[in-house]
Order: sequence, then structure tokens, then C-alpha cells
Amino acid sequence: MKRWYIVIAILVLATITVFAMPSIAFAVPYSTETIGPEGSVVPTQTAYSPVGKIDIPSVSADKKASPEDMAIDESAGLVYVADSAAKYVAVLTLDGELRQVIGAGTLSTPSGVAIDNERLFVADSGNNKIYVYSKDGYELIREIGKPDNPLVGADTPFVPAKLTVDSRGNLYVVSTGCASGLMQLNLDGEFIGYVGANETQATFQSLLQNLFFSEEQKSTFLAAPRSPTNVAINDRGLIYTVTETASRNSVKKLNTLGNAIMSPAVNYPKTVAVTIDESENIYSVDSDGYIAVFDSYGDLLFRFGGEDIDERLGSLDTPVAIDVLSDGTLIALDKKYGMAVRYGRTEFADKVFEAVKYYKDGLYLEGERMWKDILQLNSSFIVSYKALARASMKRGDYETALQQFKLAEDKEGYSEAYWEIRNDWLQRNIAWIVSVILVIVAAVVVWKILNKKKPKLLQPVKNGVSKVTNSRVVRELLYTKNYFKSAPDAVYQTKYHSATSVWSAAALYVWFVILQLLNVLVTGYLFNNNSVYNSNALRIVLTSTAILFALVLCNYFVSTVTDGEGKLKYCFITFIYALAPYLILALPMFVISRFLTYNEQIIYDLMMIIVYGWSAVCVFRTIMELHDYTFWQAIKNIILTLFAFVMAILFVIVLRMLLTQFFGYFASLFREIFTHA
Amino acid sequence: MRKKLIFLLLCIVVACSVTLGVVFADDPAVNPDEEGGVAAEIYTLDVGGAKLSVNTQNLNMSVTKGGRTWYSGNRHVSESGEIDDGWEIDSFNGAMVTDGLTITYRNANSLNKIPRTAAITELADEPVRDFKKRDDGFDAKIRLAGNIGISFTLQVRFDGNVIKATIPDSSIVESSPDMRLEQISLFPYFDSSFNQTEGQIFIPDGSGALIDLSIRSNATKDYSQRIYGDDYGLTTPSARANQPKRATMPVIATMYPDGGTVVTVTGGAEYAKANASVSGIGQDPYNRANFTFIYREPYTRYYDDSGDPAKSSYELQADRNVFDAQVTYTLMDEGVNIADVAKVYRDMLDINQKDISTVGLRLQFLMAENKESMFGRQTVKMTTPEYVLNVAKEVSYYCDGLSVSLTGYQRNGLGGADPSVFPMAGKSSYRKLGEDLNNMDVPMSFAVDYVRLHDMASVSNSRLLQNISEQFVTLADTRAGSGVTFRLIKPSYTEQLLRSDVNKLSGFYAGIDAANIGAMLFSGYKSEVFSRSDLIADSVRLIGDVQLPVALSNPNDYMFGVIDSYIDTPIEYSSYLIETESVPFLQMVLGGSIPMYSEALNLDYTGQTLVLKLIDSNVYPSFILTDEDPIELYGTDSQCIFTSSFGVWNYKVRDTYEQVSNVLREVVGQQIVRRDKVADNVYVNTYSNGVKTVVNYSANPITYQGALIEAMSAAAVR
Repeated sequence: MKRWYIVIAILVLATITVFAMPSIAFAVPYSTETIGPEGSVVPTQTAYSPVGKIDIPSVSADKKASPEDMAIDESAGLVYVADSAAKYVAVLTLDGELRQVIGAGTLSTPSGVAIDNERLFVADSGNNKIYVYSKDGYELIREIGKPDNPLVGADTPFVPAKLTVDSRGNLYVVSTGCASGLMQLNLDGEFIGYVGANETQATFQSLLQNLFFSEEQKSTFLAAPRSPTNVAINDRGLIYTVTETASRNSVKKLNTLGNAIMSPAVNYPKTVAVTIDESENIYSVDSDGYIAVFDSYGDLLFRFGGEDIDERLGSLDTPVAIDVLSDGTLIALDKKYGMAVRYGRTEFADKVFEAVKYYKDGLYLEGERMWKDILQLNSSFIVSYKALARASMKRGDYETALQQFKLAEDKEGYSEAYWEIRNDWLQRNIAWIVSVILVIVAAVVVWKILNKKKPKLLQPVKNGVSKVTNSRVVRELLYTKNYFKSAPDAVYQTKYHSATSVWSAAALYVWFVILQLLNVLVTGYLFNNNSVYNSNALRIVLTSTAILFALVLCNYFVSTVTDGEGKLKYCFITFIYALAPYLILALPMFVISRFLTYNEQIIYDLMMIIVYGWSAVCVFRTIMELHDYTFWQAIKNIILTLFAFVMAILFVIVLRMLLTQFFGYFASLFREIFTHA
Repeated sequence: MRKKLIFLLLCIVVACSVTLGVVFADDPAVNPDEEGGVAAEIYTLDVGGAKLSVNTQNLNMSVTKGGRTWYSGNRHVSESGEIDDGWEIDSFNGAMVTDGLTITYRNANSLNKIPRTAAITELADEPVRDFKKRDDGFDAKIRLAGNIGISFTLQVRFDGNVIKATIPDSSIVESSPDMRLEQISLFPYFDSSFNQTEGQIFIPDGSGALIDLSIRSNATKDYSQRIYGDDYGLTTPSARANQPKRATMPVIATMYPDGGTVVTVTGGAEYAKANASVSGIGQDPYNRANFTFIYREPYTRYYDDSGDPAKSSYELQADRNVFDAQVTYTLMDEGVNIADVAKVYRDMLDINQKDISTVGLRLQFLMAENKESMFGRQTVKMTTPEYVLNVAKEVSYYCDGLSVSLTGYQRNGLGGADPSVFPMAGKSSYRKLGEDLNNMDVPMSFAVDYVRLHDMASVSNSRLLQNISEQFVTLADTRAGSGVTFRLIKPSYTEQLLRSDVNKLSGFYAGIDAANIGAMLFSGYKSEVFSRSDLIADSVRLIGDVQLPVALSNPNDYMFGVIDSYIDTPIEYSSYLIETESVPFLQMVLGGSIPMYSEALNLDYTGQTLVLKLIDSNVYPSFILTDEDPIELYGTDSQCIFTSSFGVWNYKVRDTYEQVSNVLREVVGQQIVRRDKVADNVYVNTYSNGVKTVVNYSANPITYQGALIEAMSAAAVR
């Protein structure tokens, strides 16, 4: 009887507090972002604007609601809100009118709510129970406590915080402090198993512990994986878990076996809740008040919201739940203000979602017009280029697809398009290619025949070549091939017969630096990890020069204290000559990379390994010969050189910091004296 | 017996005389005892049928006119300290809601430096030391208790309809070596109402906002905004995107079914703060709106340029802001409408009356930008003068109110803009463009910013503004994805640049679109010392001297007398939780006088709602355009311009203009004299020529005075 008084009192209070939602979009207090070129965050047209709010009725005149979770029954036009301050579940219409309260007098801390066609499930973390109510009449059907099953674990806590339910009535329960994952229960509350457990994240510290600690010691350091903090389910019954504070994969999509099969491409560690629409687009909200929208592949479409400082409608202070209606309207529940904010989709977002649906269904050509429209509204909308590239591929317009894949930064797609273009080019020009090869072969054969039969005929050419190669500069530069073949002999010649000079070495240092620039400019897109836009030539020149000289100096200083024989001059000369394989082969490799696709990646990678490996061997043998070291002495010298190099860098950093502090200290001291004098 | 009766009558007569003598004493000063305060009495004054009553001890005031009484403070507290509605109140809060003045002061030398805010009767037993009655009001000298040592005079003048309350700066005395005056709130509860009630409060947020008092608010904070924005000479600018709108007009209003009040700051607005609160926020059950004057501001003093809080101290501004604080209360009769409030405020302003004959359309063209490349910065050409001319020709076919604005015309594009903005790339081609556009009657202007300087631009440090901590003032471009920073320059350099450019512009047939002049208000402390008041005077003089057409971007109200057009006009409010409705108040004030153009619409084109808001606000559309695809802007400082090709926006430009023009051409040059909400999401603005614009934001068609207005559309009704 007492319960009815409470209900009536609440309903009376609600009639005062509820008001209708206006449909005019309110001013948007946030910017909307999407992923732009090179993974950057770029602004975009507003995708969602706040269109109203649903007030959760206050508990009393001076006590606001404290909503924890919500479930929306769109067909009935109802929202179920678990309110921990009021200790009941409020049933409201989508317009905010309070219809009913459930569990008043029974529930202690309702923190999670879920619905299926017939039932309402409430997770009560205060009573450590799940309450099941019928949706018609809201009668309590069942109370589910901790499952009596040895697999649950006697010490495992049962504190149901959030839950969801699938079409068969199986419950997936987030139990606070349970590291084994979600508890899967059947409708009778019987334990089925754990799903979606997180893995312990390996840290450098844990790796060291695993390496050096005994089993007994390790057992004291065993870190339990984080337990999921929220859960959602899509129309196909696939579960999505949320783990707040996870440094990666905060949101995970599980397959029917409970294994993670997908996570959004961008991780937002503060994610608190997630929901999925019928097209499997993912909507998440984080504790900073940001709402992120991903397509079903996990690509970020939009992110908006942000820290609520000014109390503006649309900003969220303490978001706890998010849901999406069939018309795309988002509803985010804010605990602090005791209200749910409604976000309406703009025309721009409507276009994006429609286009995404075509893309997901593989209807690339059908969606092409829409993606072009989207690009007109935001030329940096990278996802569009990806979709347009697929459409171009399907149309056989590989040239366009190539450009679009590049803009989309989809290297796999770029490789596919390039393979098609190259294949087509080869087919069209095979006759020319064979002819050119034949001409070259014929020229070589003719040269050899003439050289044998009529050597005088070629003598002028030979003399010309010989004149060039015998000049000192060219001769010294060409001496790199000797390092290529046998580094110790070449070092010997350098040390004792002046086969090379400081000037030729300096020229090679310059070439090395130029190669760093050419690496950015010439290397093919697929194999180039540097962006021309983000690279600065001066920075590259200064960095590579500084590194080279620091290494030479470090090596010299280390060798002087480890009985090395090399003088600074020879350290300077031989170090760069020892890089002969790189100096000679790098540019051809950069050029070759322009003609390769990912199908030939292994060839490229192998070649580069050979180039770097060969250079390393040459450097090693050069150090051995230059300083007259044994094998192990050389190893020691190299390790010490690298150590000295790192120390030198640290020294520069520390010196810079000290100088900044030094001058900053006196500047602030004087300013303080003058201020307070 | 007879003697006894006579004695009794004499006693009664004496008692009555004494009582009446106290109440109606006509002495210039009541108990002018310097050592003691003024004994409490109610002083009343009849002016033009209105009666002003004031409690001479706490300055609680009321005005009765035409059957309605305006109370300056609480009228509900009973002698037992209980409010009619049962709200328990202690003496401290009781004084806050009753007294005419609330003071904030602090001990500037104490370590914690916590300010104290209290009503005057809480700060002194008898705070009013000298109460002088006048035929048109009163003067009250307020002196706070000895250890506080702050005194000043409040002058109140009443003409039967308008109350002016003034605190002359010359009257303020701070005799204590420690205590410093920080803020004064004048009549903080004037025309307040108790608990939820019918009525509205107007606040100057963005274009203007209303708070419907009948709606329970989810807000937990009051509205409190500094008029004309923060002072970056004292406070660090925020780097947040989408910051709340600035309060550019020092006006608030209360509107109830039986009347209301328009409260305007008519002196010292640059040091005023507008406040509004509604019942349900915190413990205060009052709906109220008022102004607070800031005499000193706390700030963080940094001891080096790192901005490290560990090397800083919390300080109070040493010198008091010098100004005569004045608030004008205009009493409004029954049925007060927001348009009436706008009229009261408009009549107080100096507005440059322009002849508006057509519905305008402003196209801003980004000519070039500047991008970092591997081998240094390179200029990215986005639009040519020839292209601008071609677009102007095309648009002129359907628009007779076109104006063209150019930005990024400098040699290095917008991002590499030098502070001396002219010369520009291809000077002769711009001169020719100006000539050609002039021949087509299309005004051209160059967008300039003489206040904010791009971080990349080279300029002597002596020309940069330093704040009170002697740090250069840096501002982040708050548009998302921008990542650009600016520095503020000193007003003297601003003036030098503007005057120089105005000379250079002769022969270009061009005007100036200036950003931040008259909008960003700050004070200077290093080498060039000036106050916010000084900067206001300088800005008005500077722009007033310019003989070219000048448009200012979202300026403060003190510039309304010198501008030719208003650009980047806000058509929205900040959408604070406390607010319930956006209202085109700014447009009601300036409409028909100064043409107003929106911000560039293409960067946030939210569809038909946006078009309707333009019509509802009487604001003309504006777009930012380029010839090249804006993907070229990626990596530049303008990469936040993500859609701008005229080829893409051509149709939308035309469609938007035609929709706006079809309605607003009926009210060109007219003022809004009334605004009504005739149904949910349907608004009617009545203009001075009698034409009404009906804007239907709803999803259903409506019929208004026989005219059918389709869903999400607008019409002019005669």
C-alpha cells in the first residue's frame, strides 16, 4: 500500500517537471570531427544536433534523479530508466511523460536495465540480484541471485551492474569485479558460461617479470584482466563489450563463441557505453562526453561532443548510456543533469549513413553518387574516397581508383589498382619491352664482338671512359666498389695507400644525405612510410648529418679508450665507405619500389634486408680492420659506440633542459622581485 | 476626567507628529550623524503618478505604477524570517535578497585571499551613513564597517518610468590598507520572482536568449557572462572549440504578464557582468537577472613564459578599474514583448543609420593559402580575381544585393599573412577587379585582422601585447582542426596598420571587413598601458575616422554608431541549459538600420532550418568560396574550410538567397516591432511597415491570417 503512495507522489511530481520537446535544432555546442588525410582529425559538417531532452523526474523537490542506464522500447514508445537515487525504474514515453515506476520499495541500486519482447530485466548492484518483470503490468516474475554453479567460482563476486538479453532470453551480465568476462545466464538464472573476457595487457614490466621471476614470485604479481564495464547486443545477437580505461580495444565485438572479432579503428579508452543500430553501425559515448559513430567495419564516421564546462544542451557531463532509434535519433543519458539528450541526424549524416549502407552491401556503383555528394560537403571525408575507389575499381577505371585509394590512404586498395594498371600496361607494351631487351642484348653482343675483332674501333670510347674514371675524384668515389667486395682490403688501402680521401668521403656523406631526401621523394607510395607533406628537407638533412657525425665521433672516442688504432680521419673516411652497399643500391631500390605492388613485397623486403645487412657487415669488418680488433673486440666496440651515441643524445637533451631551467629561473626570479618589490 | 482626555489627546497628537515627522521628514539628510548610521525609515517619492519607496537603511526599493509594484528585492520574507511559501532563510541570505547592494571585497594581502560577498547590512550595522533626499531620487553614502573601510555613494534618479542608479567613481574610497573592493551588484533582485512562475527573462547571449520561468531547469549553474567578453590582458584565453557566444549588449530584462523591467548598463558596461538565475538552481528559489560591476579582477601571475602553474601566484588586480557605474531600469507595462525591450535598448544606442534597399548576399573568396612543403612553405592558389568576377557576374543575374569580400590575397596567402597586409599578390588585377565590380554596383572589400596576428608572421616583439604577467597573449584558432595560434598586437600598431592600409586602398573601390576590432576588448599593462575603456574610445575613433565602407565581425554595441555593415552575425544563442529559447534580439535592435550578414553558411549547412533561421532573424546569407577543391587546403591553416568550391555551392547559394529574399524583400529597411510565438515552433515577426514574417519550423503546415505556410517554410504576410 505504501508503495502506491510513493508511485502516486512521483507521478504528481512528474506532471510538474515534464515538458514537451521542441523540434527545432538547438545551437550546437560542439564541433564534429572525422578522420581526414594521414589519420588526422579534421572538422566536418555537423552530423547530429541536439533537438531536445527527456527529463528524468526528480525524486523530490530537492533531490534530482540519478539515472544509471536505460533501455528503449521503440515500438511501444517507452524508455525504461534505472534510477539509483529514486531506487526504481522509471517508465517514460519518448516525449518525457512519466507513465509508471517499477520496483519502488524493492530495488536498492538499479544500475542496469534491458528488455526483450515480454520482459524487463533490472540489474541491482545494491541487492546483488537481477529482477525480472513482465512488460504487461510490470509484475515481478523472478529474482536471480548468484548462480549456484561451481564454474562461477566461490570467490567470484556477483554484483550485476549492466546487462543485456538476446532473443532466446539468455542474459549477458556485467558483474563488477568479475575478471572472467560477462556471465551468461539463461532465463532461469542458471549459469551457462563466461564470454568476452579481456586479456591481460603485456607491459615492459610484466615482460621482465615473466623473464626473470620464479613461478612463485610470478604468482604474486599476476595481474587480473580488466572486467568489462558495459555490454550491448545487435539485432543478430552478437555481443559488444565495453571496457572503460582499456588502452586498446575498449569496445569489442564478439562472435557467437564469445571471441573478439572486431574493434573500432580508433580507440577511445574512456568509453562508457555503446549501442548498435540495425545496420550494425556502432555508437559509443565516453566519460568526457564525446559521442563517436563508427560504421560496421569500425571506421570512424563522426565524433562530436566534449567536455561539459558551460552547461550547454548537447554537452554531456556524466554520460552513462546511449541508444539509437530507427530514424537515427541518438539518445544519451546524463547522470548529473538527470536527463537524456536527443540528437537528431542532419541531412549530411543522413547522406553518409545511406552511402555507408550501400558500401556495406557491396553496392559500390549504386552508392557512388551519394559519396560524391558527401565529398562536396567535405572534401576531407576520407571514407568517401575509399568507397569511390571501390566503385571506380568495379567500373574498371583503375587510374581514378588509384588516386582515390591514395586519398583514402588505403594501401591495399592502391596496390590492387596499381596491379591492374601495371598488368594492362605490360599487356599493351609487351612487344616494345621485348624489343628493347633484344636491342640491349644485341648491343652487348655487338660490343663484345667488336671488342674482340676490331678493338681499335672502340678505342676512342674506351679512352674517354678511362679518362673520366682515372680522374682522382671519380677514382676515389668508384673505390666504394672495393668496400663492396672486400672491406678489410679496402680499409687497408685507405689507411696505408691513401686510396680515398677526406674529400671523397665528404662527397659520399653528402650523397648519403641526398639519399635520405630521395627516399621520401622517389620511393613508391606503397613502400614509403614518409609523407612528402610531413617531411621537411632541412630537418632531414640536419638530422641525418648529426647522426652520422655523432656516430663517427662516438666510434672514434670509444676506440681511443679500447685500444683502437684508427685515427679520426680514417674513422670519418671508412665509416661512410663501409656503407657502400647502401650508397650504391639504395637509389635503384627506391626506383624499383615504384613499379612493385604488395604482391611483390617479399622481393622488395628481401632486397632491402640484403642492402642493410650487407652494409652492416661492411661496417663491422671495417671497424675490425681499421682498429685492428678481434671479432669480439669489434662487437664490444660497436656496443660501446651505440651506448655512447645514446648518452650523447641524452647529454644534449639534459643540457638543453638545464639551460632552459637556468635562464627560466633567473627570469622568473627577477620578475617576481620586480612584481613584489 | 476632561483634563485626562485632553492629556490623552495631546499625547496622541505628539506621538502622531513624531511618527509622521520621522516618516515624512523633508530634511535633506536623515540623521546625518557621521558616527552613527541612518535610522531605518521608508522614504517615498511621487513622480508622474508613480511612487518610489526606499528603505533608508538597506536601500530596499519598490516602485508602484499603474497598479503594479516593482520590488528591488525580496518581498516575501516575514519578520520571523520565513518566506510566504515556507522557504526558510537565515539572516545572511535574507539580507542578500533584501538589500539594494551586494559587495564583494577581499584582503589583498592575506595569503588565502578569499573574497567575501555579502549584502551591505551584513557588512555593517548601519551601512547607509548619509541619506540625502532629492526631488528626483536620493543619494546614499554607504560606508562599510571600519576594518573593511570601503565607502561610496549611490545616486538614484527616478522620472516616473526610468530609474537610474549610479556609483560615481570619484565617490569610492578604500581607506583600509588591506581591504580591496572587487565587485558591486546593484539591486541584485530587482523585479525578481519567487519559484516557478509565468514570465521570461531575457539575457544577451549571442543573438539573444529567453529563459521561460514556467519550465523547470536542469541547469546547475546561473548564467553569468562578462559583457564584451573576457579581458585577455588579465585572463588566459580559452582554446576550446565552439566557445559560448559573447555577450555584446549590456541589457537584460524581466518580462511577466503584468509588466517587467529592461535593465541596461549605461555606464561602465565594459566592467559589467550579466547574471541570471532561475528557481531550482542551487538553494535560491528566485528568478532574477542583474548586473555586477567588476572593480578588480583576480588573475594568475606567471613568473616566466612557460605558463607553468608551479611558477605562478594568485593575485588581485592592484589598481581599481576607473569608471562611473550606471544601471538604467526602464519599467515596462503589462503585455511587455521582447520587441519592446529591444526598442528601449535601441533608443539608448547610437546607431549608424544606413539606407538598406535590397536583400544582401555576401560571398567571401579565399584567394590563396600557405602550405608547409618538404622544401619550405609554398603558396596554394585557390581563386583568381578573374574567377571572382565571373562568379559575381553569374550571381548578379538573380541577386541585386551582392557584395564580395576577399581574404588570403596577400603574397603568401592567408596563413602567411604579414601584419602589413598590403601589398598583395597581383595588385593590378585586384585593382581591376575592384573597378569591374564597382561598375556592376557590387561592393568589394578586403578582409583584414588588425588585432590578431598569425603566429608565423614576423613582427617586432615591441608591437605585441603583453598581459599583466608580461606574457605575450596567444590565442588558439578555436575552429576544430585548425591548430593555428595568434598573438594580439598593441592598439597603437593596430591603428598604424589600419591607417596605412586605408591610404593604400585608394583606387581599389574597396572597403574593409575587419575582424576583432570592436569585438575583442582587452587591457594593456606593459609599455603601452591602457584600460578597456580606453580601447573602446580608441576603436570608435579609429573606425569612425575611416572614410571607406567598414564591416565589423560580430562587434560589441559601442561600435554600432560607426559601422556600415555587421558581418558574422550570430543567429543563435549558446544553448545553455538555463536557456529555453533563442530570440533575434540583436536583429530587432539593428534591423532596418545596419545590414547584417551571417557567418559563412557552407561550413555548417544544416539545411532548411538554417534558411528559416536567417529569415526569422532578418539576417542575410554569407558563404566562403574558392575555385579550387578545398582538399588543396589540407595541411594549411585553413584546412577547417572543408567545402568551398563555387561549383559545388552554386545551387545552394542561389536557393538560399532566393528563399531568404522572397520573404525579407518585403521588410527591407524595416524594424521588428513585435515578435510572437503563435504555435509550437511557429514565430511571427511584425515589422514597422506592418508586414509580418511567419516562420514555420514545425513538420506541419499552418494557416496564419488566411495564408498557408507549408511545413519548414516561411512567408511574408501583409
